[in-house]
Formats: sequence, C-alpha cells, structure tokens
Amino acid sequence: MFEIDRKTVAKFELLKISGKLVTAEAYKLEDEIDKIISKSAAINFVFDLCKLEYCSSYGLRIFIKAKKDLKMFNGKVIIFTPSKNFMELLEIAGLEDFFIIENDIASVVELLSE
Amino acid sequence: MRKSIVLNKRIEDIEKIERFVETAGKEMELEPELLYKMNLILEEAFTNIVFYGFDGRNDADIKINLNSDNGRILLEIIDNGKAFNPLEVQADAHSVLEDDTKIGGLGVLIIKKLSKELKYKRIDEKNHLIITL
Repeated sequence: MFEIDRKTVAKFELLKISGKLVTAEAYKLEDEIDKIISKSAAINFVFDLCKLEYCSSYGLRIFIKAKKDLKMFNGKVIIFTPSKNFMELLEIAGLEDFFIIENDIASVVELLSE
Repeated sequence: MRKSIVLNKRIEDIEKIERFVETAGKEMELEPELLYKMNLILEEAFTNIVFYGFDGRNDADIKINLNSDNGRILLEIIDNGKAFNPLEVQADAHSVLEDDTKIGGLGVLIIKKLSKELKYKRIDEKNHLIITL
C-alpha cells in the first residue's frame, strides 16, 4: 500500500513515502526508522511526503515518535513537501506547528548545516 | 441506500473497509473527498476497537452500516467490545504529545474533527457509534 524510497545524503536520511500509510502496514515504516536510528545515533530525517495520499493516526504517530526519539541525539525531523491530505491531517490533529515543514530542498540543506 | 459490512477483530480487515468505502462510493456516487473522510473515520474507529476493545476475547462482532439519504451520510459502527464512549475521551493535540500511547486519543480527535455530528449509545452490551458526515 505504501513505498519507502531511502537516500542517504550528507547530513540527513531522505525517506520518500508514497501511497497509503494505513495502520495495518505502518509498522514497516516504524521498523525502517528504528533500524536507521539504531545504526547511527546522530542523524536527521527528512520525510518527503509529496506522494503520501493517505495517513492514519497510527502513521502520524510514527513521525511524532521519530521526532521524539531523535531529540535525545539532537537530531531533527523535517517534513518536506507534504501532500494536501497530510497537511490537513496535521491541522486536524493541531500538530502543524509541531514539525518543521519545508518545501524547498535548499532550505532543508541550510537548516541541517547549522 | 444502505450498505453493511461485518469485520473480524484483526487489523488486516482495514483493507476490507477500504474496498467497502470504494464500492459504496461508486454505487452512491459520492465525492472523493467524502470517501477520504469516511475511510479515515472508519479506520480510526475500527483500529480503536481492535486494539482496545476485546482484551484477548475471541467473540468479536463488528459491523459497519452506511446510509446515504439525499447527500447526508450516516455511519454506524457497532461492536460487542467493552464499553467505550469516544465522546468522553479528552482528545487534543497537547494530550497526544504528552502521552502518545493514550487509548484512542489521536484517532478520536480525528473522528471528532471530521464528523458533523457524533452520537454514542450502549445497547445490549454493544457500542453504537453513530456518525453524521
């Protein structure tokens, strides 16, 4: 139902998530994130969500958890080019200010170079 | 027009919900935005029932009724799990961030925000969650 395309860039892990992040399958994303964090503590995540058509509350919790988990390593989570549906979900949940949201890759690189 | 579906207490049945909503949408000629909302509400309600409603019991009886009448959509989710009234759950972003393991918090918040009206009844040891869209 969803696909993860992972790229390691100098200062961050770029995870492009496409499709539908339903509760029954969202654990696969959680496992992937946990695996990356366990291998490298000092890390930043950029989630490219332009092709994320649908996300359940369980899926949203995974992004919240990633941000909380990385905080202890001074890592950042950036939501990059969120889809309309994902932005609406953040607004419904009152979490639009919880995440750093960027639509321009140059801004992402600059932010993570600080 | 009315449609119903019976589900098992297994999270994989979310796929059945998606197919149910898709079929109902075609038959009832519903807008994609409405189908998206319906899908999300039903997934959140069903997830709460499966994860928290039965404590290992194997006699789960979960049913969804969908009524469409002059553009008004009524969803009824019936289950024989333990009593759970989502209207009594304090659901806001702050509580979700403080404790993201809290039962139903984020899902209930989504259901409340996407519904025009939400009613809950406990009848004959069954939860009835009635949602107007």
